[in-house]
Amino acid sequence: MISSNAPCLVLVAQKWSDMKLYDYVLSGNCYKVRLLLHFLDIKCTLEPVDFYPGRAHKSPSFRRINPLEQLPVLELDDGKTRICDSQAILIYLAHKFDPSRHWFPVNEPEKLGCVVQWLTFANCITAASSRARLHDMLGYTCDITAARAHAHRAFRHLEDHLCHQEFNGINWLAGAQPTLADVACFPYTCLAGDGGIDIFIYPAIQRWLRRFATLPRFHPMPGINIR
Amino acid sequence: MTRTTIDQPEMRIDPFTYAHWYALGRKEDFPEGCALNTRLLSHSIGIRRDTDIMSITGPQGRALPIQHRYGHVWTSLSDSPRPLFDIPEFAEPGRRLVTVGGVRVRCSGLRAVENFLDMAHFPFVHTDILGVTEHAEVKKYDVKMDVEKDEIWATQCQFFQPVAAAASVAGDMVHYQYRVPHPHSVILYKSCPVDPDAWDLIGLFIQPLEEEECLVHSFLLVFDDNNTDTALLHFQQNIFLQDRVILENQVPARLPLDPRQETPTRADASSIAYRRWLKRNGVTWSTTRGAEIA
Amino acid sequence: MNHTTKNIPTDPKNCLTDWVPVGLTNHIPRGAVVRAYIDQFDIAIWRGEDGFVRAWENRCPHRGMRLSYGFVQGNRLTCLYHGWTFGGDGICHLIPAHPDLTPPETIHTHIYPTCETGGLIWVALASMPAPAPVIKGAWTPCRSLHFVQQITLAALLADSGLSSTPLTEYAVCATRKNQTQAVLAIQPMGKHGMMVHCSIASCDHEAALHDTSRWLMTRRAKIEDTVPE
Repeated sequence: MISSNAPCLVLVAQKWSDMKLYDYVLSGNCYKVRLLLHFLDIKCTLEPVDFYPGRAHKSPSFRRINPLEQLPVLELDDGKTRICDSQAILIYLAHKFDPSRHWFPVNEPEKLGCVVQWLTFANCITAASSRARLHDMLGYTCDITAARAHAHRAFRHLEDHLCHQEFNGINWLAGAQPTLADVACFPYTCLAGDGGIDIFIYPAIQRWLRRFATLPRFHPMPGINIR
Repeated sequence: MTRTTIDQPEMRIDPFTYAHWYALGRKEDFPEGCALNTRLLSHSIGIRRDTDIMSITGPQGRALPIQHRYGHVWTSLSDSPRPLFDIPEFAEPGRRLVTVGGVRVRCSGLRAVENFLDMAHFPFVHTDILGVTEHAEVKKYDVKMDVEKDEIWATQCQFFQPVAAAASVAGDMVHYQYRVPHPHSVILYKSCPVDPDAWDLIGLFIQPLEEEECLVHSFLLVFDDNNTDTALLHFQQNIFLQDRVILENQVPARLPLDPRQETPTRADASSIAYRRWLKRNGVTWSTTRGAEIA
Repeated sequence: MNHTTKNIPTDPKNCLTDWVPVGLTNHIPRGAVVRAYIDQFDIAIWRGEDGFVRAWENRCPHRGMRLSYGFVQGNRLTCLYHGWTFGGDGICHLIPAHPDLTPPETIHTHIYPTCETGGLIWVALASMPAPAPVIKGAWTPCRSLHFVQQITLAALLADSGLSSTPLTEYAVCATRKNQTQAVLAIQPMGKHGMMVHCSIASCDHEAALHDTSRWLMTRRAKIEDTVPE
């Protein structure tokens, strides 16, 4: 079996919080935040938003919460400060609640650079794979052929990188232990099939997805069936 | 593939399938001023709404009938459709209707109905929500035809569920009845967690787009004062999207009606009755029989 | 679609055409199940705790669910949909909806023969295939690459400067100018394109793996630039 190299978490005393996550159950970007909350063992109030079919994220009341009309949004325990953008929320949570600095290695500049590079790349995956998924699943209009082609370009790059990491005995995107890079890229890679994008043609990606699903406290979402 | 049937569609659709009403979406999905195109049984149809008047056009610009029922807009390709089935619970006071919105699935709509009738998958597909693997047994239940209304009922169904509904706090034996009043519609009656004498309703109104692609409109009609509509919506979407992965990975995508093609057991009694009922009514659309004829 | 092997021609004289490479040996560790295609045939491939690789038609006999979504426990594969559990011989041992029932032996999956050699996993679609290939020597799995187009081994190697010896219809032993020896194998997948699998003569240098991978990527880029989609 492949070892998961899970970071040994130093659990902070305060595992519950008064934070609130504006959440949509089918969103891969909301899921990555819920995943990290699970990994860090932090409880957080979920505020379900009727993204579909109600389009509540476009409503005047939600625009006051996030003018960009996007989910997720994390409201901090002061009840005022809000962080938008899933990658930004991941960074906030890791920095705040993971004193071991495994998830976001701020004390290792080279590694940090790699992690941030993959956090940005996660947006390429989302832009293609999530778009195809919204088209196929919820009937959103888009150029589906182009979306799938973009996804395959991104996955080919991911496949090459993971393959070369394995040659060096490295199981994760940015080093010997999983980081936010893996958390950020996992959801819309694993959900690609929902948008009609076959990923069985990427063996190293599949091995990485399987390793990810064996991480302690891993939690799936609908559409994700690896164990 | 399936789109080649556009020009000679009526030839390919069996009369039973052709004669029904089909839901196209919730009324809110068609706001004032909208002009949308969709598909129904491999036909392109247009939906317009000017002020409060809605019109639906089918092949060759033919006006199609419309009715608004059960929170959804319905139409039929037939000039003399069979009456839409009655759901008396929609008139009961105290119930809340939550319409879940359409979800597209690459499979026969008949496969989606059959999956909805199935309890045996709860522990494996809806793990720790509608079932747990330690309690996977499907106890014997009754399946009968209501001959007068030409619909199927499965009754005396029960299954162990850790979280039976959004309003549940602990696991329990949950009682169910299933009703199939229409080849592409199915309703679940589920024992209500807040009122032991009542049933909550969850149902699918399926819009068959192509023979291997459907749009599943679903609803909840429940007694529940604890959860917001959005919480109920998330619960139901979570469940249905777990099913979607299954539905898109069943081979073949069309429903097999030849009993030798798949292997049912006693737990599949409702599925067996459903397939027989379709066969008896001459359904070929979206089945492997249709593929053979084609 | 035909889900049986009846129409697959088997030529007993040519023992090298029946067996098709479907992946590198390290792609399927114990306890894993993957999906693979050979031409238009959809296959679930898994490795039990006993180390044996099994290849089955990717379809549960119960309700047609793809078995590649299932999970391996010990030497059994369990279908995701209803938990039907099949032994390594393909026979159904457990139907969780009826825990007291012993399933009749007539309920089983469709099995294809498998073998492992040259750092690769091979599957034969024919029910009575020719003897399995044997590739002598110690080989380290390098990587598998997806190609959008299906091309022949000859086209893969054309103008590559490699000297090669055929091993089977689908594989060659190639020697690069730097003397690295590799098994190069192609897996035709119909509308899904093609996989190229590569293992190299065993060595301790990760540099050789990187170097071979780069070579394969360059090769692919050149072929995909010249062959129209």
